[in-house]
Parts: sequence; structure tokens; C-alpha cells
Amino acid sequence: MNTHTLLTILASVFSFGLHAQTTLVSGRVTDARNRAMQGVSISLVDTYDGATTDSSGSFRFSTTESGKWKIIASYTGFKKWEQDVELNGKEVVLNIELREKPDELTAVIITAGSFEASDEKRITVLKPLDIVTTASANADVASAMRTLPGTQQIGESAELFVRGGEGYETKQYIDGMVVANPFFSTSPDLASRGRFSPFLFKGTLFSTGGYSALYGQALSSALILESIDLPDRSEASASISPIFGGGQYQHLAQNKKSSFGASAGYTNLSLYFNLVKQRPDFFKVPEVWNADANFRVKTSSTGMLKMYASFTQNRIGVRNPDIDRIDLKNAFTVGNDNLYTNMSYRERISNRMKLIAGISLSYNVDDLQQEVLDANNEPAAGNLPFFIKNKNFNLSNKGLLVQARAVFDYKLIGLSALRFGAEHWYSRDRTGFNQFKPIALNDHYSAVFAESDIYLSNKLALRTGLRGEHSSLLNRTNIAPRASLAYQFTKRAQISGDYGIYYQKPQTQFLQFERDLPQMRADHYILTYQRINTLTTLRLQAFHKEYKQLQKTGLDTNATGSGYARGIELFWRDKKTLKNFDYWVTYSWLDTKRNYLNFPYELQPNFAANHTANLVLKRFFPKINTQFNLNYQFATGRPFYDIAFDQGSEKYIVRDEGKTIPYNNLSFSINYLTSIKKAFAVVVLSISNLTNSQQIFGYRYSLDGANRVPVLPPARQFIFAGVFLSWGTDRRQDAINNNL
Amino acid sequence: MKNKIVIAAIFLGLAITSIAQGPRYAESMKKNIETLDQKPSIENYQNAANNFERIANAEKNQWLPFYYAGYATVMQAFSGMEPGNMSAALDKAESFLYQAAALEPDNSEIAAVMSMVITGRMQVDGSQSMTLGPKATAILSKAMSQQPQGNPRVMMNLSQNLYYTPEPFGGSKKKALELMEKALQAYDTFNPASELHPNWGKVYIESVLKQWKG
Repeated sequence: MNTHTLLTILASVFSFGLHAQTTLVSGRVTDARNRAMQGVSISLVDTYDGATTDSSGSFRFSTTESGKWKIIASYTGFKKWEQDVELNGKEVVLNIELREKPDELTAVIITAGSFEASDEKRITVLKPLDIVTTASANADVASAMRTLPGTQQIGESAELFVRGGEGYETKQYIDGMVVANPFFSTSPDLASRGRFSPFLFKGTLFSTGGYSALYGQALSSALILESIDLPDRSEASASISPIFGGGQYQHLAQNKKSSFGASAGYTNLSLYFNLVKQRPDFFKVPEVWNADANFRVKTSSTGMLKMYASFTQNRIGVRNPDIDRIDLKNAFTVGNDNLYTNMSYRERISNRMKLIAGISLSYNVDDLQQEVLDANNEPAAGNLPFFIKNKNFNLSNKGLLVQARAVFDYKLIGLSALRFGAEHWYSRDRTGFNQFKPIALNDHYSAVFAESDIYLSNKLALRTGLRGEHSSLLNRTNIAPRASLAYQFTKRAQISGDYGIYYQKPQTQFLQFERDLPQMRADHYILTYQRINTLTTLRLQAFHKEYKQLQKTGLDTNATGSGYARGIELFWRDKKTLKNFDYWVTYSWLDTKRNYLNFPYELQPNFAANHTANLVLKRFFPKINTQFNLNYQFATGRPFYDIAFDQGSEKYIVRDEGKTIPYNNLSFSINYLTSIKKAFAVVVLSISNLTNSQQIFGYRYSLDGANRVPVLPPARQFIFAGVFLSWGTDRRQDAINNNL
Repeated sequence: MKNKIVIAAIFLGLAITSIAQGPRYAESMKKNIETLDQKPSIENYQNAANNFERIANAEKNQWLPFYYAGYATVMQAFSGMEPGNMSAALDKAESFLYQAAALEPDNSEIAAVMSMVITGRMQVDGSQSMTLGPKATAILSKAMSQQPQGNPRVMMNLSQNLYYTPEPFGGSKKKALELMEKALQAYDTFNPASELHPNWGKVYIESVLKQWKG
């Protein structure tokens, strides 16, 4: 090659530029329904040439390129359109039709039947903060869920009674692992609280039925909690109230890759009980010690390892009049120690595959005692009838649960996904009653599960799941199929149907005497209509639930109990109509009957009210930095029964029955945000049952049926006042001060 | 001889690149940056965003087209969209900014626009202010120490953040005003790296100051 050739090449390059011809590209873009689309970007790939469509969907641009090129048309929420064209000076005319792309924001939602609170996902009905700012909840996760449709207003228990189900039919899961004892142990008819603070969780999914095959052992409902990852900053905080005091420290490493923290707290209701008179005689005022620690580390850009351990201890002693003898009292003592640990790991193994794994261990010790006392609070002496003497008891229970679990999430095309995994639970339960030899129950429960989400289009999606379970204690294997179908008929409105079979092991007290029992079973059928906009949500649900293999007691223990529950539920939330004002309304209609325990025939259980309604109002006043929350809960009366053994007919009979008065509860809370010295402070004041209305949860009967006593809350109202302080490293102030 | 060929080849390569792209990149960018200052309308910003996206996809190694595509999309979101569309536009803007940040990490200009995305989300759903507010603050505080320093757009956004944050959360109208004035002064000393680098905001700051002092 010489200089001459080089010049020739250069010349030809330049002349190529000079001889470039211009080609006109034009056309029109429409959607599948032939409507003009404005704002669509048309581009000649790898060049700057292109245009944006106008209001008639038309576009036009010219290019000096020639030869074979690719043209693409793109618009948010639509599949990219592409075509090869030949540019040779002759005008290219394109008629483009764009099709919607399955996209999490616009696609049909398979899990529309559940209530989700998350900051990460955009489309959720609730936000994590809602749990803390609901007036009646006092920062208790389960209480906040009680403002949602499908739940009963049960004042005598902390558990969630969902759609005609018992409290134990709702299970809680933290990072996939079941929580064996989510609530503090308590005496009968006295509600306790959840052990875990809502601030531990970034996401809450409350399914009132038809939940995923990834979870099991809950007949009615699943409360799925997801713990927070790394905190935003290092922070120390303190809580001060006449009822409790606590402190917490959370440290975020300089490189923001790991964090650790610990907290401790003490609750004692003596001062409060001195100020506000309680109906029962608390000879041992409720007292709680708690401590927890956590460690979280980002193992890679997509990996996260989290460890959490908590220890709680609580004591209660309460005296109530004996129901059978006016001169006697029953003193009930509760001692509860609980250890809960959880370690979870998640990582993206490949482009399409994610692993979510975890292990957890919990150990719970309950010591329950009842003693019959005389009028002077001394152990009752003398010649007492056998059934009174029997009221003296010592019950101790030690429960261990170890769980390991792994789930793989494999992404198929678009939003479609396949999830599969397995879990194993080892439980050891040891119950001692009086002087009898303790009864031990050991179970190896294993489950394998798989679930596929198939998006047939942006509008139609199908989820099918299968769960296989085996319990070594029952020596039984069960297969539980689940399915959901969701169809979106406009961008905001959709309808979905869920079906599933759910199994749960019988309660321990039955297994202690009879192991050859099948699992209890509930079949769910749910229909959901949902219209969700950015600031408003409307949801209507109808469900039918069939119960089988429930425990029957009485003459002999077997699993022939059955029942049903059906109902209609409404949820409406509106953040739009008034500025800074947010409210939701719910209504639930429930029709349920079951024949279980010693019921002589099908009855509406005493935890089921036919009509339940909720109104939750939240209003933030920015000028005074104060949020006002109001919550009104209503439920029609619940049935109560006196079921007794009739010697004559040798059968259980309903000796007396009735319905309680309706339940009304108007709660109010104020959160005032301020700063005290260098701390950010939230002052909270909350009052339950503002109207001081009478609440009766049911009745208990004496053995002979002659005396009945209402089940009442310990006091008509509960008032809480507290200050929550936090000190964080606020880098903004440094950043500002350095620049001023 | 071999050397000559190599030199010639390099020269040839350079020549083709500069003819084909050099001036065109600068010209197209300049033209589109100018349109951003013209009449603010959803259509105008959409058009500009599309143009920047096209340039970004053709260039791939330049962060500025992605940055401007993100900026134009944020401005589009703030031009009176209904909440649902605004939310979608903010998501799109965020993805452009992530692409820009992948090419140019720790840049305060990208952080400034990212904070606007978060502000937009608070506008869509006011009840999220408590969780999103501190996020915007964190991004802007970090941006104060990133390149380029003394960035008036970071100061402007931080000032607005301070202005609308309730005092107990660390907000201060007084400090906000001081910082906004500082931001205006910064235009006297702030030198964009090239005429294509961000240099907007002065007119806006003047109007905000007039309103605050008004």
C-alpha cells in the first residue's frame, strides 16, 4: 500500500458522504384497538434519526443513511416493535400496531385476594406505616389486620379469627418460616399482644384465604412478614411510657454492607393499674422482659444474609371469682419464656434463578397454674367437691420447633415464573399435667411445593400450585392443590378466582391422647373484584369455605367434625378526595356453622359475628406536625352456648344459648412529631373505646348451668401515652452547614 | 512502511469517527438541550426524552444522553400529569438515571435529578413522605461531596427539601432560603465541564427566591 492508495480510500470515504441520499420515513402508530398513540418513539437503530408521534399517532423524519436498517417503535408498557427497512431514497411508510407488554405495574394481579403492605412494591393496599398509625392497633401487627375485612372483632384474644376460622387457623411466617408462638402467653379470656414489633418488618402480606402453596399448616389465613434489610443509617432510639421503657441501637457499617443491632425493654403495668381500675384482681401485674439482637450482611450485590434472635419473658397473675361457688376464687398464674431465632439468606444464583433459604429455631416454655382460693385469698380447704378440687392444676409445656426451608424462584418469559422448594419442621412438645407423667410429642413434618405463575397475556394469568406434606407423628401424607385465575378487563379493574385445599395438624391437646388422626382440612373458593387506582382501592370479595376432619370431643375423640363459612366483604380506601386525608371502610358479612368439639349439632361458633364493619381515618396536619387517627369498629352480637352432658339422653345438649350485645369500639390516637434536644421524637397518645360503651365477648356457665358470667375486657378503656425518641447521624445538617 | 500503514489506518479511523459522529453528537445534544428550555409541555418533554434516548442508545458510552432523557422525563412528570401516569413517568426517569449512573458513578448531577424523582413520588402519594423524604435527603447529602462540587442544582434541591420538611424532621425555612441564595451565587463560579454538561436551573431558582421572599 502506498500513499496514493491511502488517498484514494480517504477520497472515497469523503465522496461517500457527499453523495449521501435522503430517505423519508413516515407512518402512524396505533394500539391493538386501532386508537392513535401519541408520544411513541420511532428510531432508526444505532443512529440519532427518528421521531415522536403526534396526537394523531403520525410521525415523519428523514435520514441520510442508506441500505438495510432496523426501525424500532417503543412506548412505556408496550412491547417493542421492530422491522428491517431498505433506505434508498424512496419514502418508507409504516403502519405500526403496538401491543401491551406484561408489566408488573399494568398487568393483572394474581394475589389480589390478599392485603399487602410494602414500600417496595408500588401497588399495595397498605403501607408499613399504616400498621403503626392505626388508632386501635397500638402498634400491634395483628390488631392492625383487624381493621381489614374478613377478620372478627375478638376482644378476649390477640389471635386473628378469619372468615369463620378459629384463632389457631391463622399462622404467622417471618421470612418464610412459621412462628410457633407469635403472641405472649396469657390467662383465659385476657387478650395479649404479638411478640414482634411492626418496625422489624418492611413488608406484610395478609391473606384471608386462598394463599400460595409455598405456605402450609394454616386452615384459614396466613400473615406473611418480611424482615427489613439494612437500615438507612446508624441510629439509637428509646421508648418511654408509664407502661414500658426500652432502648435500641442499630449500627450501619461505613461501607453500608452490613449492620448489627440490639434492643432491650421492660414492660410493667403496675403504675397504670393503680391509675385505671381493672375489673379482675391482678395479684401479679403483667410484666414483660424482652431483648433481641440482629446481624445483617450484604453478601454480594444481590445477596443478603440476615440473623435475628429474640428472647421474651412474661408473667401474669390474676384472680377471678369462681363460677360455681360464690365463696371461692380462682387464681391463675402465667409464666412464659420464649426464644425465637431466624436466619435467612437470599441470592440471585443466575440471571433467572433466585434462592431464598432459611432456618429458624424457637423454644417456648409455658407454666400455667390455677389455684382455688377462699375469700381471704388462702388456698381453699375443707371438704370441696371433686369438680372444684379439679380446678387446682399445674400445666407446663415445653415446645421446640426447628425449621429449615429453601425456595427457588425461576423467571420464565415476561412476568411468568416458577417457584419450587421444600421445608422440614422438627417439633418436640412436652406437656406435664399435675403429678402425671409428661406426655411427649415429636413430629417430623416435611413438605415439598411448586407453584407456577403463567401470564397468558397482560390481562390473563393463571397460578397453579401443589403442596405435598407428610407428618411422621400422624403418619399421613396429604396433597394440597391450589389455583388462581385472574382476568383484567380494564387497566384498573380485574376479577380473580382462587381455589385451594388447606391442611393443618390437629391441636396438640388432641394429639396427646390420640395420634391416629388425619389433618384438619379446609377447601377455599374465593371470587375477588378489584379496582385499584394510584390513590383509591375498591375490593369486593365473596367466599365459600368447607371444613372437614375437624376434631370432635365429648363421648369420643375423632375427626368427623365439619362445617362451612361463606360471606361477602368490601374494602374501600381513598387517599384522593381530601388532601392529607386518608380513610378506609370495610364491611364483612359472614355466615358460618360448624359441628366440632362437643357441639351436639351444627352451630354458629361463639367467635363469629354475622356483620362486622370498620372505619379507619387518618389525617395529617403538616402545620402542627400532628397526625390524628380514628378507628371505629362494629360487630353484631356473637352467639354463646351452654353445652352440657345430659345424663338422661347420654348426649351433649345445648342447655342455654343467646347472643351478646353488639360490639362498638371507637379508638383515637394522636402522633405528634417534634424534636427534643437532638432527638427526633414521636409523642403518641391513644384511647380505646372513647364512648365508654359496654363490651361483652360471651358468657361462661357454671357446671350446673344456674350461673352465667359475662366475658369482659379487664377495663372498658385502654389509654396509652408514650414518647419514642431516636438519634441518628443526620448527614444533611453537616452537608448544609459546610455550605453555608 | 508498516508504521505508515498503521498511522494511516489510525488516521482513517479517526477521520471516519469524527465525520460520522463527533460533531453530530455535539450538535444533536446541543439542539435538544435547547428545546428543554422552550415551552414546558408534556409533549415537548416527551419529544426531547425520546430524542435523548435515541442518542443514548446510539452512543452507549455517553452518560449525558441518559441523564438528559431522565431529566426530560422528570420534567414531563411535573408538567401536570394525573397521578397514575406521573408514577409511570417517574419510574421511566429513574431507569434512565440508573443507566446514566452506571456509566458515570458518583455524579452529583444525576443525584440531583434522582432526588426530583423521589419528590415526584411524594407528590403522587403524600402519605409516603415520611419514608421517602429521608431517602431524598440522603441522596442529596451524599451528592454535596460528589463531583462536580458546588453544584447549584444539588443545593437547589436540598434547599427545597429543607423548605418542605417539617422542622422536627430537620427542616428549616431559614436555612432553605440561605441555601437557595447560595445556589444562585454558585452559577457565578460553577463551570460545567463542557457546553453539553448540565447548566440549567438559574431562572427557576430566581423565580423560587422571588416567591419565598415575596
